[in-house]
Amino acid sequence: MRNIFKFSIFFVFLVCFLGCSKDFLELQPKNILLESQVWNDEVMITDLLANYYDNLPVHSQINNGERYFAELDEAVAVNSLESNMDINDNNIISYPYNRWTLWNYDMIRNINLALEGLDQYSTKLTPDKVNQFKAEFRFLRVYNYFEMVKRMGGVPIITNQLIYDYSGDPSYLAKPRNKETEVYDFISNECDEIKDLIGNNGSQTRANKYTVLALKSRAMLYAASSCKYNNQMPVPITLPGGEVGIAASMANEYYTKALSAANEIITSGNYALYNSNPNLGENFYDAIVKKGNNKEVIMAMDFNVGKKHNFSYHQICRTMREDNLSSSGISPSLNLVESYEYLDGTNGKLKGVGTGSNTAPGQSNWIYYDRPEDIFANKDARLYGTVIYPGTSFKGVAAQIQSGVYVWNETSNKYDRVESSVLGSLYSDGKTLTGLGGPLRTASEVSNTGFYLRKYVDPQTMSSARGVASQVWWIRFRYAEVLLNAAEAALELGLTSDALVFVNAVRERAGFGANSLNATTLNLAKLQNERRVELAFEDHRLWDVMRWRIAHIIWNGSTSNPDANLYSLYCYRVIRPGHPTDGKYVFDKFVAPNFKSPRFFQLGNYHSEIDQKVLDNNKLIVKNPFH
Amino acid sequence: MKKNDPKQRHRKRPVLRKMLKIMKLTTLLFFIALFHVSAKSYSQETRLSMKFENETLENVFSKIEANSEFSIFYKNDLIKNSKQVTGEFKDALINSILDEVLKSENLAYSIKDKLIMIVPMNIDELNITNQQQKSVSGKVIDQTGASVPGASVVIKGTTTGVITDNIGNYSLTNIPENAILQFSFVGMKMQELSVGSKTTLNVTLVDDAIGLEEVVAIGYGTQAKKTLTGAIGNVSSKALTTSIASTISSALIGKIGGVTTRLADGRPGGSTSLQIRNMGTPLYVIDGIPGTESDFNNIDINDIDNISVLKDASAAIYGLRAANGVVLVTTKLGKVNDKTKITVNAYYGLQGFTRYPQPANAYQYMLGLAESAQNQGTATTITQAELDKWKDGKKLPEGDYRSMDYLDYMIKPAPQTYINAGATGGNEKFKYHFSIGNLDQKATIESYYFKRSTIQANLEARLAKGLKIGTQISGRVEERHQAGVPGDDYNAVFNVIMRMWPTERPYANDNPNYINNTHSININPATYKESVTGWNTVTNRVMKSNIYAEYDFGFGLKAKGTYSYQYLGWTDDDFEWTYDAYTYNSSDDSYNKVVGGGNKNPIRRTGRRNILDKFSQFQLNYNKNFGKHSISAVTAYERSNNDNTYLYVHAIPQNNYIPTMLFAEQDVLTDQWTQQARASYIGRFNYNFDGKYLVEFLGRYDGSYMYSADKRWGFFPGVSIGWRISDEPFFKALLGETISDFKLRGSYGQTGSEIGVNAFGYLSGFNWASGNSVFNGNLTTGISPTGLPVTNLSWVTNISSNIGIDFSLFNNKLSGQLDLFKRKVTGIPAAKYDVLLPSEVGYTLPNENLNSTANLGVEGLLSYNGILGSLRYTIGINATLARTKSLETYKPRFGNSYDEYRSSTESRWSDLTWGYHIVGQFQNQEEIDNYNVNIDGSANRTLLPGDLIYEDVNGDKIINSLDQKPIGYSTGTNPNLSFGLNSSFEFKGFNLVMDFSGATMQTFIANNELKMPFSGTNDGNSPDWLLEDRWHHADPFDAASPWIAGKYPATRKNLTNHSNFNKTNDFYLTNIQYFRMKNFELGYTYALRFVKIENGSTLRIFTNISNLLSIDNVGKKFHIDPEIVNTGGLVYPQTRVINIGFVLTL
Repeated sequence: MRNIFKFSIFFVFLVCFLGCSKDFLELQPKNILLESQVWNDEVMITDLLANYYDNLPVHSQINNGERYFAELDEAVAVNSLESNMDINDNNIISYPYNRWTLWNYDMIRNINLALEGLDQYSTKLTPDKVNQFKAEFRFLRVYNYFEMVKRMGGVPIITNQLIYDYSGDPSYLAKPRNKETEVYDFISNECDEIKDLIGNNGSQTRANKYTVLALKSRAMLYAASSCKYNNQMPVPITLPGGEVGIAASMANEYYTKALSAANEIITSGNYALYNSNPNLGENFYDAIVKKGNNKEVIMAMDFNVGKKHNFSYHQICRTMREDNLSSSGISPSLNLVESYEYLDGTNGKLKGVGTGSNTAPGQSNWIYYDRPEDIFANKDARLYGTVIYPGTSFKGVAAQIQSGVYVWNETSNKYDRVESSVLGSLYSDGKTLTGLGGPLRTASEVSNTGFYLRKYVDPQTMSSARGVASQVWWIRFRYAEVLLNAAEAALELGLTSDALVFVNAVRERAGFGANSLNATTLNLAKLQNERRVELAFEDHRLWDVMRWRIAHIIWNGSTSNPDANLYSLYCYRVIRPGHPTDGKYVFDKFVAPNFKSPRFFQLGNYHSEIDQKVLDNNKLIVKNPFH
Repeated sequence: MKKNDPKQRHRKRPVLRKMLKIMKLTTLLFFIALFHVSAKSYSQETRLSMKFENETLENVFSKIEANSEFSIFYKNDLIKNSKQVTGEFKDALINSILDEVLKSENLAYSIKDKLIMIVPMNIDELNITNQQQKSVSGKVIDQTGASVPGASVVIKGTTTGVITDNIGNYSLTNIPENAILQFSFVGMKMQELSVGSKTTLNVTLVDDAIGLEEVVAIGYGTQAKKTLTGAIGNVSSKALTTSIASTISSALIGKIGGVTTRLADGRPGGSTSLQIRNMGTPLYVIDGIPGTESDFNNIDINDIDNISVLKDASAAIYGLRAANGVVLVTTKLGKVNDKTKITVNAYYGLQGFTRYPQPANAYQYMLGLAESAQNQGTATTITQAELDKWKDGKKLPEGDYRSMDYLDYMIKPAPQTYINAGATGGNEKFKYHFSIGNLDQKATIESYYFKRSTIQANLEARLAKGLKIGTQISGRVEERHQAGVPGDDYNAVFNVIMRMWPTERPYANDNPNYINNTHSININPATYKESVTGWNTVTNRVMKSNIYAEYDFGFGLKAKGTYSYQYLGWTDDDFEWTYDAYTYNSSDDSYNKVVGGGNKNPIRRTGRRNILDKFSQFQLNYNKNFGKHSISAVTAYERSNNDNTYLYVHAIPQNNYIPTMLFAEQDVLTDQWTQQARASYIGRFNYNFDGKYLVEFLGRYDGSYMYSADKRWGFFPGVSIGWRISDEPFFKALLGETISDFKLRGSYGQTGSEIGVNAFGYLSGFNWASGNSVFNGNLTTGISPTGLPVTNLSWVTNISSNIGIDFSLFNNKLSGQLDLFKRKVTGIPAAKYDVLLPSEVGYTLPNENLNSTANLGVEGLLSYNGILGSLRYTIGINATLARTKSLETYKPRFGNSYDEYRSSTESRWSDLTWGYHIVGQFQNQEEIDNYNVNIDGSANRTLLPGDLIYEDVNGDKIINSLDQKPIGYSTGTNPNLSFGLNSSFEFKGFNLVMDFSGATMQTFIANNELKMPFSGTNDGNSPDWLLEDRWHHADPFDAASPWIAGKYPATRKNLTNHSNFNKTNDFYLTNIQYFRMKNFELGYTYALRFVKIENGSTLRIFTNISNLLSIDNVGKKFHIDPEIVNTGGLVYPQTRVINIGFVLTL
């Protein structure tokens, strides 16, 4: 009996312990906010914006799609154990039609949800505040639509959430593609409507009135130029429903809108080209990476100690890397380097360069330079600000770019090339054979072309180490682009004098004299080159050559086309004791050893492929041309 | 004992006993200083109260026997003239009683646990009266060949006898010439043998009943093996402990039918992927409490009493998480009347790799580079003169041309040691098992090791009649230590071996003070040392306490309550240091620090995870026999919750010395917190008639936090039946002679799996901390919508069916099992694709429970116990064929017949690899030029002799995705067909164990390092065979020189998307087949007699070799271990270990 009593006590305790409470399985998640916690809390709504800004679509930017810096003609990819590069991007037989596809409707839906949520639930916020938030969400939406239209052509414009009723037949939700022109008009109208509601005055990281205008000027310029140059093609690329292709007559209207949006920014006086460093090359570099008192930047994706990126870790020049892994993920191409003009306005093609064939004829063209950097003398200062080339340094450390030596051979009456695969190796004369910065022909983590990237690489100590990482921002809109947008629109509209004011301002900052271009020398080709050198590695190149419809010409897949092949420039020290050339430097140019296939952009790439799934899901969606 | 030992004197007995006890304890304390045990035997703690009044000794002895568990052996002659005894005892120990009652007799006694022998005081008397007598000795074993300790050996017609010792040996002296010995043991048939003139008499006792009365752990209870109706595999501690394995899963390889294994990564402390019938990771239940795979793997092997594997519907009693079967582990506990047994296990071993691909030497490497340039038509800086120097391999004034072998440099044989000491025993009131163990396994890489310490304390006390209370307390500390290399510290090492160039050396000028600035300093192994790069330690600290109370109502009903609390603290501490790299300048003998060389990225980080698991259960058991009917029933309620918090801090330390972090150095903080909760009602009912007709119903009503409130609970039933035909009279009459047992059984049941659903997927809201932005200089944490709430999705239902037979033949010598099984998985989440939701709505239809697959197969086992003179042996084989088949998907539709061929999964094996078939290699350039199928997508311009010719399956003259066909089984998974062969041989004191395991129907696809020269895109080295056995020009500098054939295509660096490599093809694919000797153990057991008393103490010494040999088809081809998964071969393979050890049992 006593035992049963004892046991009963135990049992009672046990039952209390188990305490069959009803909500035992009803757990509260520790990382999910409920709808009710968001819409009346400005901080939470801002948090939602933070996510959407962070997720703006991108092709290549410093913390996302880094490898695509090396899929065009600006750079080749370098083999690296830890970078995000893919050296197969040096061997793209032809760009797949879906390489730049974007069908970003989950983001569109999220934004539409937010707009409806604000309307429905944000009862405790002032109407002004609600409208300001809504304007900002609409900016993000219109940014997404621009990213889609420039890749896909016209896409369905969805401005409210589409709710499926689970009836089994969702066909009522299907919307056809809007015309390309309708999407651009939508962008234009939205920008006009929200620019005075959006607030955020003075912010360089959230959209304000001028950000909206900058987007509008870019979008309208794209609309105008792709309209104009598409119609100048032998067979314009169009779809019967207007999903692709805009009537030629529309071009001027879009150029006008682009110019006026740009003008509104320019005349506001809120922005200016960065011009704080008397060293023009450094100044151009600073214009991108300096955050303090930089009136050039209209909107950037910013980073700080809580949000960092590893772009510098991946891209730092080999000789100044601070981590034991990674470096030199992309090697800027000689093509880009040569597109920087001489300050006298002449073509940027480098002088006295050999063919690298290691024969007397191959060496016949050589100019013997005293110092490696001399070959780059008197060039556009933006070259220095963008690329690390032989004879320059970064963060106070010399790049030490030298591929090998040429040793005079009396018997064959030519110079024999000697290279090493060991960085920092010495020749038997005790001087450098191969520099610590390479280049090497097949190695990883070292330049393949003879150049390193400077733009966007962080100047801060240790920022190329993973631990510290980089806080350099990524510029989405800056004043120089607005000036170039304005210049192009003005030129196309026949307002050449206006165009000259805009473009010469940009060129003057690069070291060209005042009025370096004039009405006779200014043409679209000049502006195209201007955009290439000013905006290199800023995610403009691909979209620019597409809207001008020159992509299929410059990247035609031909091994004999100098634009479709990417070149390297290797620097050598000359050894010919007793001869005037001894100790001088010579350069050889050849297709970058890593680069395997000429760039091949086909007409079907102008409008990216719509995924088969999207077509299956909505029969109203028509395919893009050539697909 | 040892009644016949003439030297034995009972007066000395207590002293000897005490001495022995002290010796036992000192032995134990010698091994574990803090381990304290009170080991008492029955005789020492049983106190008797009795009263005798003028009674004969015979009566006295029977009274003692009646009031205790003692058995008293004596010869009638000895006491027939004894005086009558009077006395009263209160709570007296047996020896004080015996001392008193025998004080006036010329008799002595000896006690062995519960056995008392009465012997003459003066042994000479005995000898005089038994001059004609002789001695006999021998061993008692069971039909499995295992020795039978504690069996009684009695001279027929007398009460004279002995009990066998711990290894089954006995010896009797002074027996009559014509004596007949009776051998008996509980549960076994008594045997009588006449001694005759023999002096050695070995006996095999066979089980009394048909089949063992052995009980097997099943869900929520145990069951006799003969009445089992489910497919349940079982392995006892004895079979486990013959494998030297650091984790339990590795010890199970090949031991249980239906269990498949693959040891893909052999790193110290690593575990084997273990699956039941290839169904996926099973549920592990340890002493009734669900645990994790890691909990299971890290139990000390010597703490396990047995492991049961529930393979079919018998798992349904574990409901929602038991879809992949259940592994039940029971830890040891002493039994009533077990004398205290102290065991010390220890071994020391040396480990080396089974296989690892040999990297090419410097000459092969340089030649390969030259050929690569030649084959790609690019310039090279390599000259023939240089190649010659590399071939010579000498250090010359102009450079160091010695080849560096980084495999040899990095990998060295490494020791492992293990020790475990434990005490097990029990009496009426108290049963226990204590143990403490330590494993120290060094890796074959400097600075890398695994250590584990475990304690286990299992206690059960009988508090009162019917009331028991018990506990299992276990704790362990696992430490995994590595050098602080960036990334996965083990993988990094294997990368190094294949990625370092054999032309460069780890130290500048071989001076160990200066790390050489190699082509990539990150993979310079000179830095892979704790003294250079810092350290990384991952520690698991686990403490688990179960406490339970059970009350037996006395009429077949028992109630039991259990509570369990487990705390797991996981820490990952990492301190990576900065270091410099140097170049050596031979012209002035200087070492120059390289700017930008070395590592300037110091890291200090710590991750802490705390996991609390709480479990409580209340259970009622009812067992009753009514004549030939017996029923047993279980019902239970249980619930568990889990609370998992994680904190991670990353800092950039200022120096290499101080690991404590400052706030200012920190740059990352991660904080996570997740919870789980589950509750269940459980029921099982068994009925059997006469042990012949067996039926079982079971079920579980299970609730999980994963689902929304109205979809939370599910019922998972199971049923199984059995028919022991061999008990039927007609069967006995017909086949009873040969077939001793034959049972038919079948089962059918349901389980669930919580797959395809996210916790809280039913809620609509926003994920916190998802993306962020810096707004105006301030970091703003992002939130993102969680997406459409998923409310219509439920668990996946698994329907398992099984039919099987159990049989034993030839007096149980041969026994076996055969099972056919199928597990149908229904309701696998998928989207209704025919409801075509336009992509522009921005969301996709939530998944619903639509598709189904099945795992099906057959498994069987056979075991034979044989005796050949003094040799006893057991041979067991088992094999499992288990495959996965996709049954049906939601309304499949195909665009065309090819699409159906390629994409359909309807009723198809799903464990297949699709790829391209290679029909040959081009033999010369003309063949390439004339070949009319476009293989490389570039009109074959990129092809060279030796390149692969793809089969143009559809004949469209171009190789593209339409030319794929099935070319292999699944990769990286457990094998579809696996088998085990276990054998043990015992001869006198020797025993030999050989375990083999084998597998096939699984595919390995070589990739990266094993496929592409120079490590693919990683600019490294290659296995020597890849650069050696290749197509190449006779002269690497003359492209006009003739081609020389080889096995592999011509060497080309950095051409990873070449047609040779860019498609999954069967040139680089192997259907793995292996048969390996997993375990070889040779031991000798020596009965310790140095104490002269208490024989039963034994010392077993053994040597054990694991992975001694392997017969397989990837050794020659890729020089890899057949079980690895890593496609580049860069992984810690299985090790070959040679151990020596001992087991001391006192």
